[in-house]
Amino acid sequence: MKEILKLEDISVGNEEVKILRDIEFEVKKGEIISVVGESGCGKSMTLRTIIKLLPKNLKILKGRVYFEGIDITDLDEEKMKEIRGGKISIIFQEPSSYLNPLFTIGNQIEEGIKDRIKKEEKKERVMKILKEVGLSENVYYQYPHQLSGGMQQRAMIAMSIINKPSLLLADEPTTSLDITTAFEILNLLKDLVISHNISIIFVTHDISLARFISKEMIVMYAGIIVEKGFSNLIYSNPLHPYTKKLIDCLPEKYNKGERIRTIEGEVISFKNLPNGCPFYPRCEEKKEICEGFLPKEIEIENVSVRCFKYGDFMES
Amino acid sequence: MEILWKVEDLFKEYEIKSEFERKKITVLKNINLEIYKGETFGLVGESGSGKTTFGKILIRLIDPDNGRIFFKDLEITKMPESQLRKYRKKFQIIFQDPYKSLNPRICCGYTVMEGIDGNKKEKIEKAIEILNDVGIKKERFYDYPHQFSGGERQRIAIARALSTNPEFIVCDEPTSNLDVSIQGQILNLFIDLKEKFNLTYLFITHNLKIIKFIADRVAIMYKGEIVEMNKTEEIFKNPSHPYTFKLLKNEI
Ligand SMILES: Nc1ncnc2c1ncn2[C@@H]1O[C@H](COP(=O)(O)OP(=O)(O)OP(=O)(O)O)[C@@H](O)[C@H]1O
Ligand SMILES: Nc1ncnc2c1ncn2[C@@H]1O[C@H](COP(=O)(O)OP(=O)(O)OP(=O)(O)O)[C@@H](O)[C@H]1O
Ligand SMILES: [Mg+2]
Ligand SMILES: [Mg+2]
Repeated sequence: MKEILKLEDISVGNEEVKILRDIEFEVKKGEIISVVGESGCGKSMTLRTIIKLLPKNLKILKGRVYFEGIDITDLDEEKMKEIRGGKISIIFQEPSSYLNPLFTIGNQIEEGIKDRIKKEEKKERVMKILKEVGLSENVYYQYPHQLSGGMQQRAMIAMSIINKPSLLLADEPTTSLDITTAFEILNLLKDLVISHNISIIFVTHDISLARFISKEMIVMYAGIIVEKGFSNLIYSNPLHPYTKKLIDCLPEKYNKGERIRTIEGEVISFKNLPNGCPFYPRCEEKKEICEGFLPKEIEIENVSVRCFKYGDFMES
Repeated sequence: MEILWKVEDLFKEYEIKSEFERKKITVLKNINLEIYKGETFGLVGESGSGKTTFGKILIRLIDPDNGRIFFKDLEITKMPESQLRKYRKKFQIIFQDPYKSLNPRICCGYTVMEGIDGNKKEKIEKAIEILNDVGIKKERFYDYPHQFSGGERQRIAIARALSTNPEFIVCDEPTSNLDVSIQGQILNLFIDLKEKFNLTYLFITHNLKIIKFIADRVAIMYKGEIVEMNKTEEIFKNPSHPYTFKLLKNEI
């Protein structure tokens, strides 16, 4: 089995709204895959679906989640708790809001260890992990406020790998960091993939960052996957009109004095989703069919895309 | 070129108290620079290097411990607030987080009106005009911050800054909390407004791609000091300081 995680035709929502629709992708062992898209498109919700930490009013309406070959969709909370922070762990954007200011870093990491081992052994393990993420042993005795943002994020990463997870969900882990620090953290994540044989789902709204960190990416718009495949291919030759636009509004594509071409129109609200393609209202390449129907995923040279530009493949 | 700002030997330290000790940390030292009228002056540096502190000291939101600040040949370093008030409206600052920088209980129109002189009718008219300049429609005058998106909130913050007819705006990472699509709109807006109102910007960011796109000159700040300063193209072509090298090398 090559894949560690597989999402099969997932929809998430309730009677009133559908947030995620037809989400389907695989995460390969020892690889990083990025999830890219604008604020509110459902990136975090996708991660929450995997570990079943959905908001109370939302649930999985359809589809399955397989982890290490096992269907975990209907696992009870008890068993899910074992997995969360164990085999699947998560790191968030703002390290400062997830670290407890009242406890030392060492204390907090130790607290998370799931194995029933002796106190001294725990400490030893924490010291080792701190070193692996590039922190000195002193950090064990320090409080969060005594660390810089980058160090706090390293501590979060240490905490998230302490139980040797096989899958790490990283939700915008570098967005609040400056580039030099972000770069170090990204390289640390890349190293972990190799040294610990971890797979990572990396969530970001920055498509160039996605290309940098991962071989494959998923582009989301309004709760659906509009394009997925190899990052380099997508970045150099985006197929979906939305992905094109997303790349087109990066400042590095322009010289000084030029105007950045932006995406016109408003991000749609989940309350009144159009029947057809959700990008339809803002799309410059739309056809008549796009208004009433949602295109099916089609494969074009190793990239899959949902757009009628490439043929009229409809949802049945 | 007309010099708008001149800063000499700026020095700033903070005292930090931990459980057991008090110690002083130097946040800015030996800062010497000039900002020309009409330019976009970029300021880049890692987190904690002192960029925000510098921006705030420049427009006297906080006081330096040492050094001198001149606005158009006039020294304002120790100017008392009563005298400074006359100049206050000429300087504005826009922060990174549009969620925190707007008062949630004041509607969008009133937020902008606060900075405008005149009677109520004039204020309203002017506020509508400025909001229109930043792309917020008249119908939304009485809407509150929570009814706007992140990008719209940042537009309102920009409108508020424009309301006092400033000559100079400190833009402190004004797009780093926004999506790329909205970031593009806001960057375009900064460029348009600069032309329309003949503005000068101090543009703080750690995104080099934005600096390349928007700044005429750049200063690289490292641990409270400016280690390199030059025309934007020059810095990217011939970086001289090791930190600048590292910065360019880490570009993603
Ligand atoms: N409890 C809820 N009930 C209904 N809709 C919700 C709920 N929580 C979030 N949403 C909506 O679900 C959508 C997806 O949210 P999600 O947090 O996944 O976005 P995201 O892609 O992670 O965005 P960001 O980049 O801003 O973090 C959003 O439009 C949000 O408004
Ligand atoms: N009021 C304060 N009291 C004590 N220390 C402070 C205070 N304000 C700032 N500092 C310290 O001064 C240094 C410079 O802070 P500043 O906010 O200017 O950095 P910055 O370059 O803007 O960083 P960032 O990119 O994270 O915004 C930091 O070490 C910060 O912790
Ligand atoms: Mg999110
Ligand atoms: Mg700052």
